[in-house]
Amino acid sequence: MWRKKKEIFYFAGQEVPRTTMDKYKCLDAATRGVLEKATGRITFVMIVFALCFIAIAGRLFQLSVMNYQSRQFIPSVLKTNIDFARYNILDRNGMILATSVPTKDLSVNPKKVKQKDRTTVARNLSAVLPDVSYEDILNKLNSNSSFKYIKRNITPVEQKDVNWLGYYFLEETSGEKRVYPQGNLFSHLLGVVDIDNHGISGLEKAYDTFLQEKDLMLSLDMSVQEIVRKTLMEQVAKFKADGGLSIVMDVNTGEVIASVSLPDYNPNLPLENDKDKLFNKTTLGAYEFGSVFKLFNTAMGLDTGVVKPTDSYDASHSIKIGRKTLTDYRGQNRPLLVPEILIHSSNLGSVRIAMKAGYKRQREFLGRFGFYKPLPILLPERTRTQYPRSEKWAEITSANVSFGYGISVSPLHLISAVSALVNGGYYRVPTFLKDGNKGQPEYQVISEKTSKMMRHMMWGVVNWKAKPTDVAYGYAVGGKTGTANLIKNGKYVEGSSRTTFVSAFPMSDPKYAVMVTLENPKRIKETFNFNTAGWNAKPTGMKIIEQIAPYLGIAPEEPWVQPAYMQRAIEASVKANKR
Amino acid sequence: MKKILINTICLLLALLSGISLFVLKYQVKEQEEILKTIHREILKNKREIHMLEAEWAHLNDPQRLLDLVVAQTDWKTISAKQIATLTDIPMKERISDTIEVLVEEETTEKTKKKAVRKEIVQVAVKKVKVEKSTKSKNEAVQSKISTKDKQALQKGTAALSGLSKKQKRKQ
Repeated sequence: MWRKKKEIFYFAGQEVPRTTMDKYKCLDAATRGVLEKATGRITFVMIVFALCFIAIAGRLFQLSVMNYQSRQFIPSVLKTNIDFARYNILDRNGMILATSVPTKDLSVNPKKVKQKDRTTVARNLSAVLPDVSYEDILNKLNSNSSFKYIKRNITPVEQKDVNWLGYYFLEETSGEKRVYPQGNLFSHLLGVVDIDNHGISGLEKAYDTFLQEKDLMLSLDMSVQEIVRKTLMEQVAKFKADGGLSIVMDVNTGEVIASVSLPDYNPNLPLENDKDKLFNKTTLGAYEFGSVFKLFNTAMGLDTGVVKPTDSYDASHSIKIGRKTLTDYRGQNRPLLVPEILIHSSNLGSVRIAMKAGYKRQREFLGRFGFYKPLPILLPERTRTQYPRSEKWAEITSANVSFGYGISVSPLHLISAVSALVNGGYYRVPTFLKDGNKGQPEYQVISEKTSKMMRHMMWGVVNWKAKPTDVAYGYAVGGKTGTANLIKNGKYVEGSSRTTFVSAFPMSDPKYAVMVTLENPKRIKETFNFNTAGWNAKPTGMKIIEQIAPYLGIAPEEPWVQPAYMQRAIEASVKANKR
Repeated sequence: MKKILINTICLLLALLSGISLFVLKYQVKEQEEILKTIHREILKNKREIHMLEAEWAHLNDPQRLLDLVVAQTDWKTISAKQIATLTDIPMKERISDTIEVLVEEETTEKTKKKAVRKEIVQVAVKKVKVEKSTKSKNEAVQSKISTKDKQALQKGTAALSGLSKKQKRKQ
């Protein structure tokens, strides 16, 4: 139409081809103009329609070929993940320790209930819901509100019975209930949640936000926990103790494998108002552990070079400091080599080492193990330690601390410190999460040489008179016992004690540390009326080790060859105790 | 003619696209409904799996498993003395070694028997020799005794034998 018309030359007599416009040549100019206009408009409309169809075709192509995988078009009803307000807590092997189950909450709109029917409705509901009293339901029905919970987390049986009543003003809304399938087993560590599924204690509180997004995997092992708890319960009953605690820790990673505090409670049931049951002794208690601290005293002497393993210290004469006279309990009354100070748990030997080292070294050394501050764990139940705050320790303070009095720490503090003594000298913060310390810094608190010497001495403490028939013989267990008097009203109570056995195995290459503490174990016939740690806490610890060692993949081994100074010390002890 | 044909084709195409769009739309809706049903089923199954996992955890309570083991089996807790390593087990003897040992035992037995037989023969030979020597000794002694003494001996023995006959008769 807009192209310039091409001039064509025709010969005389050549047939001129007829064009579309030719037929209009016979018409007059006005008519021709109208027709041309009409043709133009029709062409325009055809183009518009053609464009519309091209657009539809193009959209079809886009929808069917190009965008079929696009998620923006998937409605929300098509999502395939179940949403819970709270995710699972798992043990290190993936076993469920805490989970949320969907439940129904029963509610009522009191305004829809007729006045004359309220007593009947309340009676019928209390019959099918035995946990809720008739008066409670009636009060709710008589309230002015338009929404009242009758009962939260009703069981499927209760739901069926309520539906059978056929009351239209009752409503069921979806809810969640937190369930702990293992009952008492992890009660203190896991903690509990409130009615709205917010954590109020333990790991539930510590990882409240985390659990709203994903599962939490702990370092705890359910089987080891069960073995530890069962053995501890049996021994607490046997020795008629007031309670007990036990911790198993991986010495190389700082992961807590098991942690039991007795007495405990069932988190699936409403919490009882019993402070003792709710108290997590392993992290919240701060105790004096007695002779167990001789390990740190000896390590201090060896690591600072003040003491050599072949040194000998007099344990035949008591030490008088101020008005206090220090003696040994069932002392050897002879000079003792350094390993023998630990073997026979000599207060006199420990005091002499502490005096030789000086209070400054002693205070600085104990600080390396984090004894002066709370543990950097997320658990809300963690204690502050108690220790002599003054910069300058009196002689008597230094002496007391050398055999474990005058300084109170939590059991978790203690086992973490003992792990550092035996694993080559590296302190790792305890963690309840699997691989919780991966990538975290470790602190060298003693040299590897000192750690090796401590391992030999701890082995000597347990095995200097061991026989092949003994429990856990063959696992090269090394450890130390400690007996500390209980404090009541600010005074030590004679005859009441807290006994502890802290150990690690196998001492040739330690993998795990085990700690057992019994609260106020009694004197029984079987222990010849003794109630020191060697008679109750130590056998408990050895029983636990014998049962968990095969499960943890630790095989018995040949007796560990001891260096000359250990052999000499053991020989001297055996000879002296044969007389 | 050509125009009519083109117009007809365009009209048919327009009609076809309209109908196909209509059909496609309802097919898609149908598929969406099926998809929603499937997703609801998946959600339902996932909830059931979650409940089953909770129940499985409850059934795996270690105390419950221990009670079942005690009630149904006679298993006991393993002790350190029951655990050994591969090096503690003595090496098993090879068959060829066993045969060699047996053959050796047989030959030693045979030689032992031979030795015993040899000993018996030697003892028998010795006995015969001893007997011969005693006989010859007796003969030598007898030859030295005189004829008178012999006669006296003979009478004595006869008297003795007569006494013994009387004693027998008395009995």
